[in-house]
Amino acid sequence: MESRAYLLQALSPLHVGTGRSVGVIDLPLMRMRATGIPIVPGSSLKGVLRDSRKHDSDKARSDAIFGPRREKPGPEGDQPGEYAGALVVGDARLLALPVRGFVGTFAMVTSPLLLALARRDWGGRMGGGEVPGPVAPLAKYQARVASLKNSACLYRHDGQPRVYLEDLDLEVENKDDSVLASWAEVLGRALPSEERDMLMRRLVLVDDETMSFLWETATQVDTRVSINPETGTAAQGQLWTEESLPAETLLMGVMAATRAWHPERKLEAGEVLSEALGGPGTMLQLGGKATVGRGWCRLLSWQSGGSEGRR
Amino acid sequence: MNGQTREQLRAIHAYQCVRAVPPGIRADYKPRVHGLGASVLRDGLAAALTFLEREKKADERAPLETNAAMRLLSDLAKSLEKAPIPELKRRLATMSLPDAVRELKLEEYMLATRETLRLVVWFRRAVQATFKDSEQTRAQ
Repeated sequence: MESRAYLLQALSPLHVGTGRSVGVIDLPLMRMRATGIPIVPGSSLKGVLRDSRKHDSDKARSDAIFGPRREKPGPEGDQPGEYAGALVVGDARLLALPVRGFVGTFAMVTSPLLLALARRDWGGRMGGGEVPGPVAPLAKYQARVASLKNSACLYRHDGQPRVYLEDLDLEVENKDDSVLASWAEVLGRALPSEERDMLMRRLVLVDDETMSFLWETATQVDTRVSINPETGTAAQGQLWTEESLPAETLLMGVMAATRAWHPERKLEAGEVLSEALGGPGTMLQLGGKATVGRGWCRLLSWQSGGSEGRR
Repeated sequence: MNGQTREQLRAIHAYQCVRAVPPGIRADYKPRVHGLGASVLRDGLAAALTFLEREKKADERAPLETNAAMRLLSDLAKSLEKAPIPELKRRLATMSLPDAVRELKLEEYMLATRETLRLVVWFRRAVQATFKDSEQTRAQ
């Protein structure tokens, strides 16, 4: 089985939710159970990828990659098929969260834990080279940037660099982090050329404690209302809140593939992965609330060099 | 370990508070409970509490009986006193909740934010379960 890491870049707020909740937010985001990290489940992405290929005339090729279509929707259609799909789509996990700041407009905030999980996804190698090493740990409520000189998010107070993220005023270590710079450079390679220096200028590493607070409290919360068609005013009791990942969020996951099992369509694992990932920066609409502009994403990967991991 | 989960303790306290809200201010209390969580997430805990605090009227004689915002602040303060945030508990002995929160250090501020969000969940549930539809209430 071959695998390839992918990036999802949200171009508009992204709402992939769990359905109605009795919590603080009526329609919260889907998150990993143990860590609370926001995710886009592989099932959502796979369905959208399949849907994006539905106009292809080569139905057998699509079925070879994604699996045979079910005869009936829902659990009733979950019958054993003649062959399995060749593609395995893993969940996309938060990698960097855009957080508004007093200085530099916004920062792309990540943490040692998120980068360690990304390293695991890459399996030690990414397209064309080695994955950057683990970043050095941080003290609580501290931050670090790739380059003090080039960062767009720093403010110096009495010589001490700081970042102002939402409500949080964090001290920044007074030294460059070359490993973080490698991360910014490698992640940036998946982005369109005009955006490649964004991470070098905006990536801010914070400790895991601070990061978990941010992914709980720095998501986008929108209040929405139904309008009563009779009166043109807000309908009684029809006010609700929705949570989204803000535009510019980066998520990371893994796609894996075997050779195709379709009796008439022979595809190698690498072809399956290339087909699933599409061209550079494939546009997709993921999650709910599509008609109000939610969920526009770029699907990005590192395809140069062709050194997928093997599992 | 006291034999109950933290969620149980929050729920017990929230239901006690909500059941004791005078009928005359329930219509104002409910939307404030419903809006508080989103306000904390959007603006931060200190700003969200200050938003409630602005409802304080200098000439009000019994604000907890007649002022829904003050009542909610008082209910939250009583809940947060019991939370394992020693610095907040110490300050609440002599300060109002918004004052105490404004003075917290970052670590306690984060804990207080998270604790408030968990509490608000139970206040929302208690309000939905306790206040009858027939009572005059604003849309959420």
